[in-house]
Amino acid sequence: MGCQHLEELYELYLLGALDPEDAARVTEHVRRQCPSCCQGLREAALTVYLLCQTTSPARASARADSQQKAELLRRLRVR
Amino acid sequence: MNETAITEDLLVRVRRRDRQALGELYDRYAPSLRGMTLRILTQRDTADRAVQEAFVHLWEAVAPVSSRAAPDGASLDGKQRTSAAAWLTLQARAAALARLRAARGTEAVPELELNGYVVSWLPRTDEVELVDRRRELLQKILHQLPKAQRELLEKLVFEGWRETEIAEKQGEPLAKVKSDLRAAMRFLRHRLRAVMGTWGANI
Repeated sequence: MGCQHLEELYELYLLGALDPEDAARVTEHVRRQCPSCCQGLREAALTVYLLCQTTSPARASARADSQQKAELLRRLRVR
Repeated sequence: MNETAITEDLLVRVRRRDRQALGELYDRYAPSLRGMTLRILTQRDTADRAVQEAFVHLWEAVAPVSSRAAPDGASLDGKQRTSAAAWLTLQARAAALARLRAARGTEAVPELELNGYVVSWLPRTDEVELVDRRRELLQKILHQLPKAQRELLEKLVFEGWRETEIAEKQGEPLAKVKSDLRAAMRFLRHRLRAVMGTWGANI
């Protein structure tokens, strides 16, 4: 399927950083279930996960955390 | 019980609509997610809202009957399954960036919905465990990138800029921005392969 030229786009695709034209090129291969692209995207997803993990965890105070969790659970009840 | 088993057990309970289990997952993952969303949004309130949205999506995604194009709850976690941490990370990032773009009036970028395709690409639990255990080493890899490339990556990951927007914002040729970013990704990809491939990789 000639997707060597797409290899450099996978991480950027997952990050939403490509312009629409480049994104469409990857999407087309995804729709065709290109095995090479799917494998490349699997590897790229790990890189993207790593990049997202470069920040330090941010703990809230026990009170704030409790409030946030309570609000989350309230949101579930509404749905 | 190890971490994977605990999370897997919690997800099974969430699937049975156990809200307390979702609360326990929140306790486990919220600090890490908040660190990221705070970096993106800088304000505690909106950062927390983005984290909440990720968990709301998780609740909906593992529902016994879900109309969302989302992973089957049974496919999350467990050694060979999609990592819940990775899933939540992408959800929280997407939620935070949507807010950021709306706040700055940037055109919304169609988000990569966590549908069946994308979920099948997400790291498995065992891969995420490996990454987490090698975190310091992987941080060193990132710092081996030239500063300019690291800063470009930050703009992508935490500020949600596209290549074209970065070029316009920085007044640089698009070809240069693309070349720098792709070189950075190529470097990371190869180093990550080396680390994931061998435990004793010397970087």
